[in-house]
Amino acid sequence: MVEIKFLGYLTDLAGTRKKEVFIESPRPLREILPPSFPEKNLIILIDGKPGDLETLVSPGQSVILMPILSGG
Amino acid sequence: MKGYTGKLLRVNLSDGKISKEEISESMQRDFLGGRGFAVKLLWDEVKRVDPLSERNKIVFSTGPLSGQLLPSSGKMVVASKSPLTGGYGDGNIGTMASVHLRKAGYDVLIVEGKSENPCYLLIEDEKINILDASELWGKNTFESQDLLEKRHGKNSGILLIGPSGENLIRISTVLSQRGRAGGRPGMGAVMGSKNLKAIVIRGTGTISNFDDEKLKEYAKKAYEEIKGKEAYPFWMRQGTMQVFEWCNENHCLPTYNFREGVFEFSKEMDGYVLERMAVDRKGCPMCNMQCGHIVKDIKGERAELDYENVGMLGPNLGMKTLAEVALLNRMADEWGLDTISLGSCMGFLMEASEKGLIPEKIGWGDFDRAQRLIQEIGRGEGIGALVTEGVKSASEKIGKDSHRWAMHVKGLEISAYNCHGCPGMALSYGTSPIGASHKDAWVIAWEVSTDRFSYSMEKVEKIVEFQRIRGGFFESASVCRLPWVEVNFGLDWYPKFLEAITGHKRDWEELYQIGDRIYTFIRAFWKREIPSFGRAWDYPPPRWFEEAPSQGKLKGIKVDKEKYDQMLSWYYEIRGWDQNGIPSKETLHRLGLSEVTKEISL
Repeated sequence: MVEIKFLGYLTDLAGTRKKEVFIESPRPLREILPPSFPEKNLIILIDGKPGDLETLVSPGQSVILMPILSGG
Repeated sequence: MKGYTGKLLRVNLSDGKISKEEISESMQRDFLGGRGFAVKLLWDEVKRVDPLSERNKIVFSTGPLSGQLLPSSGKMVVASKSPLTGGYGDGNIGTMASVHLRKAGYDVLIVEGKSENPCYLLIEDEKINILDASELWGKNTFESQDLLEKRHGKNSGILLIGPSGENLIRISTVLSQRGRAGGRPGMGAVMGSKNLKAIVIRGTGTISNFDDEKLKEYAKKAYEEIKGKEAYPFWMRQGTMQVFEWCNENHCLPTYNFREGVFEFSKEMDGYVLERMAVDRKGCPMCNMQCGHIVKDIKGERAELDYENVGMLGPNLGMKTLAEVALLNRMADEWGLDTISLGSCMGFLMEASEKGLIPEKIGWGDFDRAQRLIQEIGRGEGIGALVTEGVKSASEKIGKDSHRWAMHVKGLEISAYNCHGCPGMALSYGTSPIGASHKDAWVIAWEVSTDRFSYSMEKVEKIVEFQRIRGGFFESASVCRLPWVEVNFGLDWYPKFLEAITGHKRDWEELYQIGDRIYTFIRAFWKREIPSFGRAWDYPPPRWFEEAPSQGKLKGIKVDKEKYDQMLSWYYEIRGWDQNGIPSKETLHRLGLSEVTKEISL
């Protein structure tokens, strides 16, 4: 199982704030995200470390996807 | 140059003299507008004066993009020598006053001198009047706005101060339209020192642009592009308040006077709570992505919230609900206090109380005491008097190592990002030209997306790039930066807008150079006004170097001072300043600022 958390407008694209995806072996992050997910202006943290859409995600890891924001 | 009115309106409140002056083409070319005009004027006209004396001046400055029919263009810079920091101070306010000033035929208003009695300024195109404000004096900003709208029309552009500005409280700001604010480094106190309660502007003219048809075509496409962005619907629901969850997740939420980066009550006041409570939305003129969300506070009054206010008056004070924070925010706006500095000052007092450094009991999250504290600060009475000049001054007064957790840079309180684990953002605060403001280089998102704990040249280069775009271009053009970063509106639009407005093609390289000129000029201003100014002023408070958060994933993490020092040295190298942070002769010459050299003893 991989836990994926979405922040900001990415929740609209994912249709949820959090979901769990079942995988048996490591897979590129892109393959477990909803189709047509944005390629740019994303912050991707896998177990707290920066990654990208090609980073391999293993069962038991947690992923956070955040937009790049500007702040007040 | 087309797109500018080319006129500066000067009002002297001491003798009532009013004059209209030309703004030279070279000034338009070299400084663009907004912050650029402001620093040039303040450099030329305000030299080593007491910021609250009648010799100080306050500048209200627009740029070629301000007030145009373009996305989020209803902006204006308010600048002066800061009574809070002693250096250059400015802020950016979204207001109908920007649109009206331009329509009245002026790019810049400069107010000097001091009125004998409370007054307000009425600008109706060519007609300028200084009017009696005795009826307004002492009234809060909401009541004053109501009264002025009743007198001069709902659609007027109105800038005003609250009782705290009248009382010369140095964390007072300028307000407009019941909750829009700008001028954090004490611009409200500067107005108060001049007995100037408000400025009302009604302009009926038009701005003459180079190619209005092209501009209209661009504007239509630009507004449509913004509305079509994937991030737009979410933005409209939460605005900047989405940053709350973002910061808590990344452990950079200002919590308990920046001691922690995560907050146990975060789910009681994040953007999703705002969505449930919101009753209305408010924005600046010309904006189709309004950022102001109105909620009912705990007493049922309307309060306009955004992330900075909530961050500083919520977790930073240990408040537990958004309705409580909304009331504190409403009070700050009524009094005319800057919510960021206010939150920092209150957090400072709470920590001082906890440590037994002051006799008063002010507990974290004590909502009733917090309300009374705002009144005391606004009046400069009781324990509130300790922080009326900001946390830097307060820590100097009480001593006992309190400077280690007085959260400011250059005397301006740090806005709502805790940087124990964000050395780049710490440097961004350290090198912001007005003190610890987030508006110049919000590098934190980029930093978190890469190696957030690194101390690299790449990070420093990114800070300078953001400063050029945000603090350089957007503050001078003067339009809002939020469409760009919040919904990914393309930066390549802005040179096109400028060309249609002015007829001059200017690429980003050239705009970057204007930004560099402005930053170096501001640096020189600080040096001239404060002879001891230099490298030591570019460090965040010791708390970020010495204390690590006790909660969350950043437990044990703090900023490495030696490595910060290295990044600061790289920053100076990129800027062409010496290792004390003073612009070199060569840099001043390259940027066309040779006139500055002898004034800062080079």
